Amino acid sequence: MSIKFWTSFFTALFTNPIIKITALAIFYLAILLALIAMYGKGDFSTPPFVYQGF
Amino acid sequence: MKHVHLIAMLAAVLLLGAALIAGQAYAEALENRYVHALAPAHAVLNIVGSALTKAALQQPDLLPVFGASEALVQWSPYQSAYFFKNYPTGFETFEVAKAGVASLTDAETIAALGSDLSGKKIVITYTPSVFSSTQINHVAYAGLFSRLHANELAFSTQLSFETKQEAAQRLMDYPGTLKKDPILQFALQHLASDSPLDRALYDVTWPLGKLQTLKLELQDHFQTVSYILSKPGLNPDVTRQPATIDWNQLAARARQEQMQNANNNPYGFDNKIWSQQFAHQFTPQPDGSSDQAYIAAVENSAEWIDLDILLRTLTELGAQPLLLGRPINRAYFGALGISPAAQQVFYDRLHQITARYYVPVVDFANYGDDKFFSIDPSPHTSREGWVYVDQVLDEFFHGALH
Repeated sequence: MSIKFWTSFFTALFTNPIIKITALAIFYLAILLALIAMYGKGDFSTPPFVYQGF
Repeated sequence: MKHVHLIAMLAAVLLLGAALIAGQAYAEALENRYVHALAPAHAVLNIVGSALTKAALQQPDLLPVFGASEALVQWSPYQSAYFFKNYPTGFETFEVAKAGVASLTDAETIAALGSDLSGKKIVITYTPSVFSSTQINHVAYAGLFSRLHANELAFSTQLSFETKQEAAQRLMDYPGTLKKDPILQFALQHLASDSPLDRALYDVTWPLGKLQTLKLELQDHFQTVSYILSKPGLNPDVTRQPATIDWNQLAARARQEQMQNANNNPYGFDNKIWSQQFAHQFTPQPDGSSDQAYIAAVENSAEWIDLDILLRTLTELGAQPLLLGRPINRAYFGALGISPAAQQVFYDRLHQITARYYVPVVDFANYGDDKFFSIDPSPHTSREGWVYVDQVLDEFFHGALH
């Protein structure tokens, strides 16, 4: 199986609009999930607490 | 296929939205399942988050209590979270409490609960000492600050503009807490001002703020689910042991225990607290010699502004609150040079402000001469004091408080 074969295979595959949209949707979903993983966890920590007596 | 990327992107966003909605539903189901087991835990995540507290509000047998150290100290079998642990009279307290919490933090916490509070009984506890402090210092406030709660308040749809504005003016007194959140900072800055331009700028920021709040809510669920899953041994099925409580007998027993632990000083303080903090440095002052300073401190305390914000928030959200205090230790205050008349200034002001909102108050002022109600000047509650507190909580929950 040469590179040429795979290139032809994917080119042919992506001529099908449903497959192309599905693959792109997965691609964009992966990007969104990566962004959530990177920035979505949040930081709920507070500075050190100092008790004021009440 | 001209719009293939647009369609794919839209599909990805829809899929992600569906996943987040499903995730939220899963989180809420988990929170509802474990909230009874976590009720006595005093989890810190309740101070910065809201998910578990919202779950508690949905339970007919949990009574949310919001407060500071007075809700936690002194630990004994009479302390409410422990006393009601097995639902002896059909309910348990769910305490959102941490040392140092004052009315402004409570107001933010309450605002974050939004419409979930409508028609729900809740208890707000306080100690008189917080009303003789000028205001919460910046470090203490920052240590209890919740971005989620502040965003919920600033971008609330249930609160009136006036209430949000009054709260914004106080939140802006602690600018250090807003540095990490430019959207909130910008919104509060314009919310706190009066001009039409400021109002317009706040309105423009509102959608973005609401979106940010939604993100913080999802993060709160994530944190709560992580917390629950980090406790694999947590049993969601709590023990329920109905019991008949003889409050008078219980109070007498607790008083006996307290007296044995508070017999080295004339003010009813715990022996250890007296020995370590007062015995060698406390000198009684002449009667009334500190009245002027005390009255000035009470009258100028920013805590009254914050209490007003808190009561307005509770009223606008339709909650059924009880304000539950602790009494001034009259003997100790007398020895500080604060006369009964000066002490009364605090009670009068408290009732004046709560009457405006028709919020019931139990201040225990009638126990001011019972030195065994408390263990220290704050005052924190003694074994005996807890029995009286528990009885009020029980009566309030069952609609028998008069």
